[in-house]
This record gives sequence, structure tokens and C-alpha cells, in this order.
Amino acid sequence: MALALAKYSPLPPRWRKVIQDLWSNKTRTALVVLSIAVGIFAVGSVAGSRVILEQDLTAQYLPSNDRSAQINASNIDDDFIKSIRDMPEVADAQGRFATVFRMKIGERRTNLLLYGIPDFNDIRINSITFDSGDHEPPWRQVLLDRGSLELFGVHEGDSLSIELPDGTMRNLGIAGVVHDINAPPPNFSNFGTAFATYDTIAWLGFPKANNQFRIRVSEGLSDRQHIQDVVDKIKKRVEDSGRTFYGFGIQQSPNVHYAWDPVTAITLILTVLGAFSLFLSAFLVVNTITALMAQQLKQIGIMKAVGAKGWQIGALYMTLVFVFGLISLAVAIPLGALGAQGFAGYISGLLNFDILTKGVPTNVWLIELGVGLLIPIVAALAPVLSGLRVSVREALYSSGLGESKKQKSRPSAQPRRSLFSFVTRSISRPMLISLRNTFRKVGRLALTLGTLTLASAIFISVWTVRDSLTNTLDKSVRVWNYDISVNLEHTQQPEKAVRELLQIPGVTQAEGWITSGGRRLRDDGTESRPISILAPPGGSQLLRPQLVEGRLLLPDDVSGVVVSSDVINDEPDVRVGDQITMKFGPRRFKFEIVGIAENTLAGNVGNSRVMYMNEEGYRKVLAAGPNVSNFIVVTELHDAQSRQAVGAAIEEQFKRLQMRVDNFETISERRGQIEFQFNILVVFLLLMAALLAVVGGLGLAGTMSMNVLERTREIGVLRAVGASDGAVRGIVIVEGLLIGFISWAIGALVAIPISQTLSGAVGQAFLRGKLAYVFSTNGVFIWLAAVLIIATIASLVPALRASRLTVREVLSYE
Amino acid sequence: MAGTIACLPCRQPYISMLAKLRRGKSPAANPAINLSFDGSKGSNGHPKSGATDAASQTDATRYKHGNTDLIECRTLVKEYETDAGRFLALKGVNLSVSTHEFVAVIGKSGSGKTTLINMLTGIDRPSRGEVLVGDTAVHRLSEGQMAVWRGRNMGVIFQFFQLLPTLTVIENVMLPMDFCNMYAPRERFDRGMQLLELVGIAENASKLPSQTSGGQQQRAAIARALANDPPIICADEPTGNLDSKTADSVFELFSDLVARGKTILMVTHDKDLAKRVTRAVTVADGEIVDEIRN
Repeated sequence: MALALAKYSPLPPRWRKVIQDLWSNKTRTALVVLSIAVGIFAVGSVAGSRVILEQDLTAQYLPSNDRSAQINASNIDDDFIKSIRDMPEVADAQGRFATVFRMKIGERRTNLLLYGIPDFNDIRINSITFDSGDHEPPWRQVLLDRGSLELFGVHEGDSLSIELPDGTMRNLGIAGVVHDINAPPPNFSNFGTAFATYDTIAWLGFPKANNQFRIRVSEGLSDRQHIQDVVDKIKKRVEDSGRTFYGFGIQQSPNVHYAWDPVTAITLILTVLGAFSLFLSAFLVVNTITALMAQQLKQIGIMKAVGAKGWQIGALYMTLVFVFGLISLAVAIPLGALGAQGFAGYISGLLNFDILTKGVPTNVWLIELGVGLLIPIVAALAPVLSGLRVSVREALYSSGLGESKKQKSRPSAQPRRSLFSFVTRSISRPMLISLRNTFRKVGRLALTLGTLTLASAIFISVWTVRDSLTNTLDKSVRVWNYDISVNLEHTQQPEKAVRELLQIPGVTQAEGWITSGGRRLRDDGTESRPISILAPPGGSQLLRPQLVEGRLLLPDDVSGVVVSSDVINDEPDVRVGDQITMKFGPRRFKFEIVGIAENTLAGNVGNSRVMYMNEEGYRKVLAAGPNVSNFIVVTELHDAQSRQAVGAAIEEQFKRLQMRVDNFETISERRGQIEFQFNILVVFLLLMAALLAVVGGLGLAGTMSMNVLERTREIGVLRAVGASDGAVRGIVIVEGLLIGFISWAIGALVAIPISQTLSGAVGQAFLRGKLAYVFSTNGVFIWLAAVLIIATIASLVPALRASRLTVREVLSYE
Repeated sequence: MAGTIACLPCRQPYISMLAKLRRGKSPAANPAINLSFDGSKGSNGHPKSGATDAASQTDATRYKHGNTDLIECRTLVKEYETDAGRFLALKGVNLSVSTHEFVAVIGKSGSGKTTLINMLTGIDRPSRGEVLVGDTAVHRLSEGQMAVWRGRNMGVIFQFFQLLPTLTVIENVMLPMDFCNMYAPRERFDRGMQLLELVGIAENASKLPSQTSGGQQQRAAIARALANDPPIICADEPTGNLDSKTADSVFELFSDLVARGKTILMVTHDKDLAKRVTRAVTVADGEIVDEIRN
């Protein structure tokens, strides 16, 4: 029975149409879904990782009760600590012992920061968590921070070979593994961290006593100035009690984990790039929905003709877009969660903390839902409304989707034609078709170009940031015109040490430098943060600060100093020509600022408050003795291995001469550490750039698919007049390549301001200064290659589809 | 509220029609079959069409805008701007069509006959002049009002069928009822199937348009035009894309609809068909140049 063939469905036909539109053109649906999904993925993974990192870092950091300040002084007994604890401004105070040992692991030399802990059951400030093994290390054993296991290449039960100040070696067993959230990350510092009892400390030849104490203030835990005031009071108390105050340390951002600032900076920059991805994916949605509306114009006309109101049709297409969003969410949310966990896991691994959050936090879900549902709807609003504004007559009687609405005669058209007549005469017909096809749909071309251009600009900008970071590093390294910096445990006569150094094979030049530290004493009596003093012999060619303002030091400068930009950042009232009062311990001296130099990158990126002065000037002003502990060495060969070998030879030779080396650092090591940190940022920036490239590729693929679909009849005609498969494919691919090339050319120009802004942001976030900006020509050409590959791939599927169309198929195409 | 015209009076429930169909009688050949299944209101309670019953109104009665005929075009002018300059598609056309008339608009390609019918259906707007259909001044309706009015009062049939390609034949027929919220959802399916029976393609109900022949698609388009039981059908070259045998059966279907009380305007260039209608209006160069009453 005929009637039985059709079944009643409670779903009204118009909603059936929505489903059919989704299902009948799977390529289009896939493209739209992918376009939206890429944006959601970018936002989900970046926002997710940001929330996870911040949440988990805080969750592990806060219970550790990080110190507000640490004070190094002599004779810190329990009674004195109790008196500090009794101060109303101090919530708690605890003493501990801290020292650094040189370690030898195979041929590699590294450092162990060893803490002596009076009572392992009562670590209230900077508490640690016990991962495995003993909770209190036995005599001659230590608990090793888990981050140090990889650095030292050891396991629980192994032993560490450390060198005592007198040069004897001691083996410390690893009794257990702990996690110190506040320990310097071995990946960045080349320092391992371990904890021992005071008995073990005594076995190592040190007194069973505290050499520092740590405090937590009662209030204003995040207020650096308040903590400074409290430290000033404690300092007075230390000095009044007859003890020696050696120094103090306050975190750059108190009550916040040291990694907080770089983590938030990196995630902030990635968030901006994620937002760009989202913006681009919204572009794609606009493009695709515009094309969809153009394809459906006739259907809109029919629906209007049979009584559909504008809002009803609008609701259909907005529902379609909403469903696109839902499918995209289904695809992107799990991938975003994976991305967020992966990114957060990588960063937490580097910074030595755990990811505790499983999956993605609810607020990120909500962001993803909002983005996935709202952005496509907002993006689709304009094309849908414009599609609905078309009258029934226009919709039903327009002769083809490829036609332009109004071909107004333009006075400029004729000259333009003649201008290109030579070009059009000299290129092949299929190429000419590609060329003309490219510019037929100006609106769509503009959107596709917009997407690809932005992707190009961001990619090139990211590459520029990478090159600028390297350039900054190169410039920094050029300041250090030497190969090895050797720090001796005790000061030595420079002449003698230099003579010995020059005896060592591979050493061509050596100088003794004064390295010291002081603080600026401001007019209001407050003190600045510590400023490193670097005083090479006058006229030394081994230190070349890059001048920003004023002049460099002259060999006969006595009280003249050059300060790094970071000093000026901290002390903005200081100008070239000003007198500055410096405090060295209790003593105060005046210097004249003769110049400001660019910041250099220290191993610990971002901390480069340096004051350069002549060695002779330093001695004269401070009435300092002739001995120095820092020696600068130039080697014959400048590769990392040669530098390391010469450094080891220096350490051995000096050990024989009873001139113990505290540590040495090659410029290659210093560069490597900084590069490692930069590379983390660069890798993630490039990942985001790759994501943008995917978005751009999707945009182009979508455009080419739509172009082929709309030109089905034309392709049929081309086939009918003898166009081969290759010719049809070529026309489509060349059009794609042309769009890719144009986007690359415009993108390279747009990249100039974007890369300057991005470099500025990265410099400010990571170095608190400017990067040595250099526009990346490598990036420009790498992206050219990439965009041409992307364009070929994006055009390939539509091209193959076009070449497979038969004349019969295309003539029946409606 | 936009002006409306009347629907056909209810004479017989559709169940009886279905029963007759099931007995194997051709609905087209059976004058007792009524296309109006539900009186003046949809079974869901929504008014189906206007307050004025056009079918029961005599020609002497004046409609709201002073027109005495169901359809009146008054000095219709349609002007298009083209690249070549201004083009006058209609040059002050006057046309009146009474209820139950079957009017053929004939003329050569480009004569203005499609433009004229588009003015009546509201698909296009006149540059000058008035289009009055029942109580409605069509030329004054906004796009939104026009859609509602057309959906309920005017069945439109196109030369190229214009079925939605992603919907099945039955879904295409149900679409106007869905958009105009006519009849209860379940009733829409039954009514759609009835209409497909009426036009003789019920066995193709669940097929996509692309899976059916041109003649079947045109019949589906006719069924769709009848979906909301409009009193007026406007068809633009409905047989232009059909072979002569299929064209003949479609014409028979139209004749039957007129016999059932519908008013039909049909654009055609087939002069033979024009002889079989109530009245044939010849359009040339945007003007009505001849009228023949058969």
C-alpha cells in the first residue's frame, strides 16, 4: 500500500531540513565544525591550563607556608628565634642551616643546596612533603628533593658525592625523596636541593647551629614594603643583640610562588593567541555561513513563497549554527581538556609541582560552552540576516550563485583591463581562469584573506619573537666577552691567580674582577633591592655593556658608575649625572651615574640589577683590599665542550694550589640555561602559531570547496570543451596557491606592527624590559613555504572533486 | 493584521475523501471530493484565512479596498534598473479575476507575464499601481506580512517546481502547514498524504525530489500549493518543463481544482492550453493586448 511507504514523524519538516542540511553536505559540516572546534580547542586548552596551573600551584604553595623573608646572621640560637617569634609583626620564625656544595657527577659539575633542619617533624615555614623513604634522614644521609633526582641522575638508595670546603669528598646517602615546592627548579638553576639533620651537617664539618632564620609576617603577607619594614626592625634587633647581620632575602612577589609571574605571563600571552585563534575561527564561520546562505538562497525564496516568515527561516539557520556549535563542542572539549592537561603537565614538570586537577575545571567548561555556542551564533548573525533580506524574487530568479549582484560599470575598469592585458595575453588560459576566479567573490576572498593573513602575521610574529629572544640573548652574551667565570671560595691576589690561570692549557686571557653587592640608600632612608656590583679592571675589554644613555666607563673613572636599565626600572628617580648613595653593609658611599646600560640576561632570567664600575674606583672609594674571588677567563676554543674542559682543568689545578673553586660557569652553560627557558615559551608560541595555520588552512579549504561547488556548472562547461582532469585540478589549486601567496605578502607586512607589539609584551612579561627586536626574515620564508603547502593541501580535495565531476552530473546540478 | 481573503467553505470531512480514495476512485475525476477539510479554522484552532468568505461573496460585493473582483490589478507598472538602463516590464496593466475563474496569462518570453503573476503573489512589488486580492492590498504588505498572507491565501507553483532538495516529497508538502502553523502536527501528515493521493503520487511520498520525475515533482509542487487550502493558485509555466502527456494531466488537475472552487491564474506560452481555460489574457511588451473568454 502506497500510504504505508511514508511514515509520520513528529519532527516538523522545517526541523527535518536542519538535520538534512547538516547531514547532506558532510564536507561543509565537517569544515564548519572544525573551524569552530579549533577556536574552542585553543581557548579550552589555554584557559584550562591556565586555571589548572594557577589552581594547583596555589593549592600546593599555600600549605607550604613560604617565608616572608629569610635573614642570614650569626649565632642564631633558639632563644633569639623565640624573641623574633614574639614580635607582634611576626607570625612565626624558624631557624635552619643552609650551604651549597660542589658536586661531581661523572664529568659534570653541579651544585647541591643542603639544608640542615633541626626537627623534621616540625617544619612550619617552607614545609616539605614526603614522597618516599624516611621522614627523617639518618646520620650521613639526606632527603633529596624529587626535582633533583633527574638533575643528578640518581634514585633513592643511591649516594651523592659532595666536595667539602677543604676539598675532601663525602658520600651522602639518599634516604628518601621529598617535594619542596619552593626549591629552585633544577631545570633552570643547576642546583639540587637536599635536607639533612644537624648531626649530618656536623659530620660535614659545620657547626650544629642555624646560620639563617625564616619568618612569616603576621599581616600583609603580600606587602613587600611591609615585609621590608619588618626585616629592618629584625635587622636592628640582630645588630643590637651583638650579632652580625649578613643579609636578607624577600621574594620579588611575596606570598606568591616564584613561578607564578612567569606562569601567568606565559598563559596570558597564550590566551591572547588563543583569542586570535577564536577570532579567526569566527571569521571562518562567517565565511562558511555566508556561502551556506548563498547556496540556500533559492531554498530561502521557496520557503518564503510557501509562507515562511523571516524569523522562522532565521531560526532554522541559527539552529543549524547552534547545532554546528554543539558538535564542535563535542569534538573540542575533550581535545581541549587533553591540551590543557598536557600543557599544564609540561609546565608543572619543569617547575617541579604536581597537577592535582583531573579533567578541566567547571569554569573552563562554561567558557568553552559560551565560546562554542555564542561565537558561531554571533558570527552567523550577519550572513543569516543578509540572506533573509533577499526578496523572494531575487532568491528565486537569480540565475546563478556565482553571479555578482550588480555589475556596475566602473570608469577604472577599462584602464585596468588594458594595464593587465599584457599579463593576460602572456599566461595560459587555465591560469587566467584561476586568476579571474580568485577575484570573483570579493567578500569571500576578503574573509579568507583576512583569516590567512592574520594567521600569516601571527606566525611570522611568533617567529620574530623567537628570533628577537635569540638576538637579545646574543646581545647579552656579547656583553660577556669571555668564556668562563670562576668563583673561588676565598679571595686571592689577582696577579697570582691570573698567572696560574694563564699556565693552564687552553686559557689565553684572564682577569680578576670584583663582584659585590649593595643597596641604594634613598633620600627617605629606605633601601633598594640588592644591586650586583661588577668591577673589572679599568679599560677591560672582557665586559662590554650596551649603552642606552650617557657614556661607558673610562679607565680613569673613580666614582663614576654605569647602571643597568633594571636599576632604573626599580629606581625611576635616578638619572644620568645624578649622585647615588650606595650601602655596602653598614658603610655608605656616593657614586655618580655616568651611563645606563641595557639589561643583560642572568641565569635567573629577569634579575639583572647591575652596577658597573672600575675595579680601581671600587677599591679607592671603598678602601677595599686587593684580593678578589671572581676570575674571568678567555679560552682558545669557544665551543661548549672546550669551555667545560678548561673549566674542569682550572678547578683541578686550583684545587692542587689550595685555591678552592666555589663554582665555575661557562658562557655556553649560561646561554643554554637562558635558551632553555626561552625555548619553553617559543615552543608554546609556535604551537599556537601552528594552530593558527590550521585555522587558516581550514578557511582556505572551506573557500575552495565552496568555490568548486558553486562553479560546478562552469567546470562542466570546461569539461565539455575538453579540459583534462589535470587542467581542472590545476585551475583550482592555482587559485588556492594564489590566495595563499597574497595572504603571505599582506601577512608579512601586517606582521611588522604585530610582532613589535608581541615582542614588547613578551619582553615586559619575561625580562621586564624590551627584547632586542629583529624582524624574522626566516619566519617570512618559512611561512611562505608553509602557506603554499597548506594552500595546496587545502585545494587538493576540492580540486579532486572538481576533476571527478562528469558533464552529465554538472548539467543536472541545481 | 494584514488583509486576508476567505478560504473555501467546508463541505465534507477529509476522512470521506480518503475512504473514496481507498476504494480506488480517482480523486481528480470525482467532483464530490473537497479540498477544504476544516472549514474556516484549522483543527488546531488557528484561523486558516481571512474573515471574509470570498467564495460566498458575489462579484457585486465590494471588498475592503473597493475592489469588486477577487483579484484586481490597477494600472500596474514595473520598472527595472539594468546595466542597459531602465526597463519597463509592465506598463500600466489592469486585470480583474473573479472567484472560480481559471485564467491563463499567455505571451512570449520577456513579455512580462511572469512579472505580472509575481505582482499578484507578492513575490515582486509594483513600481506603481495597486494589487488588491480580496480584502488585502498586497502591494502595501511588508515582507513579513506578505509571507504570512501568501502562505495562507495563495498557492504558488513554479516552472522549475522549486521543491526543497533535502526534504522528502511529503515533507515538502507539509512545509507550508508547518510554517503557517496550520492544522495539528499529526493532521499535517494525513493532509499531506491526501493531497499527494489527490495529485496521484502518494507512492512517492517518502522519496527525495531528485528521486522522482519532472512530472512527479510538479505534482508534488501542486500538492504543496494546496497544503494550506488557499483559495487562489498562481502557477508560473507549470507545464513548461513537462512532456505533453504529463502537461495534459497537470492541466486536468488544475481544471478539477477550479471545479472545486479554486481560482487559478496560470502563466503559459502554450496557446493550446490557453484555449481550455475560462479566460486567456495575452501579454506583450508589458501590456495586456488581448483577452479571450472561452
